[in-house]
Amino acid sequence: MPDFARFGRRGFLGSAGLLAGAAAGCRLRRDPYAAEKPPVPVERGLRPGSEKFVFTTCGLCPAGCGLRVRVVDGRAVKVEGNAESPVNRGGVCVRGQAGLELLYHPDRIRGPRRRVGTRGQNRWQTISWDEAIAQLASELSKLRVAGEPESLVLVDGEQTGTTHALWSRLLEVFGSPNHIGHGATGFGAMAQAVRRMTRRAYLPGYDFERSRCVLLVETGALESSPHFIHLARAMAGESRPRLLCASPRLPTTAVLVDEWLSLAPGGSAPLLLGLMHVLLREQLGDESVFAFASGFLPWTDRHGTPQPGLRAQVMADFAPDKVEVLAGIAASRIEHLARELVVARPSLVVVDESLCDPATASASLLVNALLGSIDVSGGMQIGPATPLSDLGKADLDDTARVGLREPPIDGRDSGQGDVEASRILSLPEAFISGKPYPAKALLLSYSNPAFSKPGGRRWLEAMAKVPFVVSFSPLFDESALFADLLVPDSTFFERWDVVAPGRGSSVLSLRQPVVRPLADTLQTGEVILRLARALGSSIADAFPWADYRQAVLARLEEVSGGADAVLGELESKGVCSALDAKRAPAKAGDDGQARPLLFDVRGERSPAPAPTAGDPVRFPFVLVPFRGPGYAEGGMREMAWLRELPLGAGNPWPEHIELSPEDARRLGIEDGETVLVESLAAQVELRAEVRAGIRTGVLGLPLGAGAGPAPDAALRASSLLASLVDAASGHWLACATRAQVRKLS
Amino acid sequence: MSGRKLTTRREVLTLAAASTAGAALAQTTRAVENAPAPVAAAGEPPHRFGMAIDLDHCLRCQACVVACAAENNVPPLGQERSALTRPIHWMDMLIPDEGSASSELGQGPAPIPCMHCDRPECVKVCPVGATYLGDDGVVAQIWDRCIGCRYCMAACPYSRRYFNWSEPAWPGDDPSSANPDVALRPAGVVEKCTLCQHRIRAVLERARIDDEPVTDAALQRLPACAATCPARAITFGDLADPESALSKLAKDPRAVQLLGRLGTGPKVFYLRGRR
Repeated sequence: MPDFARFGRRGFLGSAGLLAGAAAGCRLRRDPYAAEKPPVPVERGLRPGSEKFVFTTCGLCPAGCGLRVRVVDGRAVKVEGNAESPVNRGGVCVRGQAGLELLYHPDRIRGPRRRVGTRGQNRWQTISWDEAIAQLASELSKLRVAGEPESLVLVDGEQTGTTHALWSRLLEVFGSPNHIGHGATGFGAMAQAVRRMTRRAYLPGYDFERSRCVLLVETGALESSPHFIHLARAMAGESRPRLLCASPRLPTTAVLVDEWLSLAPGGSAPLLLGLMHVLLREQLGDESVFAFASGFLPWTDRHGTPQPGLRAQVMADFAPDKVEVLAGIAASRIEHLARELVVARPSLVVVDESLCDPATASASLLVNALLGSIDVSGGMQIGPATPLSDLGKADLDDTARVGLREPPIDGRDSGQGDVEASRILSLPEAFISGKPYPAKALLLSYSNPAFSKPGGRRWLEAMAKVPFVVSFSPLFDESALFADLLVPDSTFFERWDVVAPGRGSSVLSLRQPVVRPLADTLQTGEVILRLARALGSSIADAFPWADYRQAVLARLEEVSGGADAVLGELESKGVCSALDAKRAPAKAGDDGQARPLLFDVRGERSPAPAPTAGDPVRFPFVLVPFRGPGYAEGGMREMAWLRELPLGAGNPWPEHIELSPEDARRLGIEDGETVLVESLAAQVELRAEVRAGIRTGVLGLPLGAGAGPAPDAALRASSLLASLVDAASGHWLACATRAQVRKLS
Repeated sequence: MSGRKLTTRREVLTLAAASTAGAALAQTTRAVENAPAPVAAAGEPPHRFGMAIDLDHCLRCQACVVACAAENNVPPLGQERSALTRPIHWMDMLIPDEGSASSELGQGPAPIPCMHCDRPECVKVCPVGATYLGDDGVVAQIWDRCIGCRYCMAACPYSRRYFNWSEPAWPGDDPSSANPDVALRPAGVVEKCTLCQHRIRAVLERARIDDEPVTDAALQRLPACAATCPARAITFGDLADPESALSKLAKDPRAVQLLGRLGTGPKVFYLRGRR
């Protein structure tokens, strides 16, 4: 086949190479006498190919990395980094590289669908967008007509962005207090700690690049988290920070960690408060940060009971020799660690936002504050505010006002529609019991709770109680299969948006369609606007924008330089980072005025061992869930490149559990053997992966893995996790499920 | 151990510095005969492309692995075939046995592309001349000359070659994300890292058209793996250019070649041992 030989050598000549290569492939694959067909249909004859690079912003995690996508003849063929983006400076992590698998995923929902047959049966009728919006509007209107707008529940997996803002506004003018976020199983603990203690409403970023010593508590930043790309950037420099990691398990990828402190599960908060004790006792920290904070010194609560205050509590209960037992780290090492962090200033304490509990999140703020590491170069960055302005207040009609007076269905106490304080894990109970009131409609946006939340199976039971369930998922997933109406979102490669990555920067990053939408999908922001118009009256008035783009541009009005200038820069470079200079992050306060850092450090810090689900005798192990390097929640788990990473487990597709060599020897378990893992919640057969870097008594449980949507969700490893929550905040306690492992006889 | 390393480095320096012609080329006569057309134009000095991977920067995030697969049209195996065979990773992670002394890199897993040896074992054994050492230093493979005998796989001390057991296929049979610059490999041939030769040629061709020299800056992040690395751990370049960033890294005291003692002369250098 001489033609192929020539093209093989000169592959760079363009699509001709692909044609020839594919021809060879087809020839082997099918009937040898069949006509040779190119894999990608192209017009006959010679014609110039077109190649372009399109700037956009990654949407696979909230980090907001700038991308340049290579588009050849209308097909997106490769993701590259945008060197102009200060977030990733041209680098792209493993998830971003696999992004095109999502765009071209075979299981994408190719347009709006209406359920026929019973729920979960997976039989659908294709409908038009007009029909879909009309059905959505008519079902939701019924709730308002019946005077029960509060029975609309939205579960929204996004934490920021214009779509999120539009959802908030829609629920508000509709009259439902039930905008539920995923915070309680993730970033919520950190967001609430920051809000309560500093009265600021931003998730922190970390200046790894200028830090000299970083203590990672749990391994989030090393594996899958929005902080990974910032850590990687720091590693690119000549002088990288010293990396210490306190965690029950050290991932195989954590090679650059200079020292591993094997932490007992549930020991994060005690360890951090132990560090605080040493800093206070030896006067190593800057205690003046607490000068304006209520609750540091003795105070009296609203019942008139005197409280010892944070300082006395830490000094009494968290001496290193007491913490030693809870954290599993020697007292002398804790003392030494505190001194190390002081000597190496600017130093940082970073917790795993995606899985840490509220006590750990607030303790990390306290230690960073005491180290003088908040809002300084090389420290933790809280703020500045996102350059995108709020949408402003909307006028409410009477129905909405009545609805908003109802308590939120998830039992959170604020009642102010505060999304990050929402308690998603109490939803199944609320749906099943019908208390405080029955949910009549459930919208799932960026959310697949039946897969990603502990107690997944219970979610299916709960959803059965809701008469109308809508999924916005772009892929068929467990929750979507159980919905009545599918209104598929476009993937981030097909959307237009302006993204504010935040995390200590005021960068804006452009997201734009790199290809024409591949299916009859509509980005959820547009659906919200069309739905609002269909709902009519006061709701339509609250959404004066012609389309999603106009809504985003309205939020750019207040940006220095004006929306047009910003948009021009975004279109030419993909990002707009000059805002950094104009709105430099001032120490304590965005307005540049000196302002106390900490306002409120009240709260109970219990020296008792953290609660766990399950009897320690029957269940001697503790499950430590983690998000691996190719963490793939929901549809992402079907991105096969991420599944087949070489540093995953042997055969990447069946689920596995990590076990320490000591425990494996004791139980006679071989690496790769299938074992039975049992917790209070479930019994699952999993492959055991025996490796160093796991603390004894700990089982590492990778999240987001497992087969695609299947009717029997109980067989997943994540169903082992109990839905145990922190009573005060409703936040999930991720590392609190006990389990046992048995050899299969 | 240190003595061995020194020898290795000296070998490389000999090769790099003095006469790339002399001894080195004598050993690869066969390889050059196999090579198709010369990449460098007449009169242009030959290139020796290679790579340095800094293990003190690398976070083992494996972005290089996926970037390579995406660039070079290496589809994932999928659930069914994963149980039968290993996935193809032109850029793979070398996983040393725990506690064994065999890991000369000594820092846990490391990204491992083809070493693009100056004296490649795979080229010596190929009975049909499907693989050759090009005058750009790349150990390349002509897919449709390959008869799938897999001698090269047995000969490669780094296991950097993969037998392609199946036809090119994408999830859902949708090859839209295929890179048109890289030919698909039919089932039954051996495939391997090409140092993103199509990207190298595009740069050389551009330089030839513009009548400008190829700059080191244009090369440093050229292959897909180097381009994506968020920690900037991978540096690509021309070892024939003593001023290139790569040539300097190759002379760094931290530089080591994997199994350099075998005399294969790998052009991939690992940097390690910050502490």
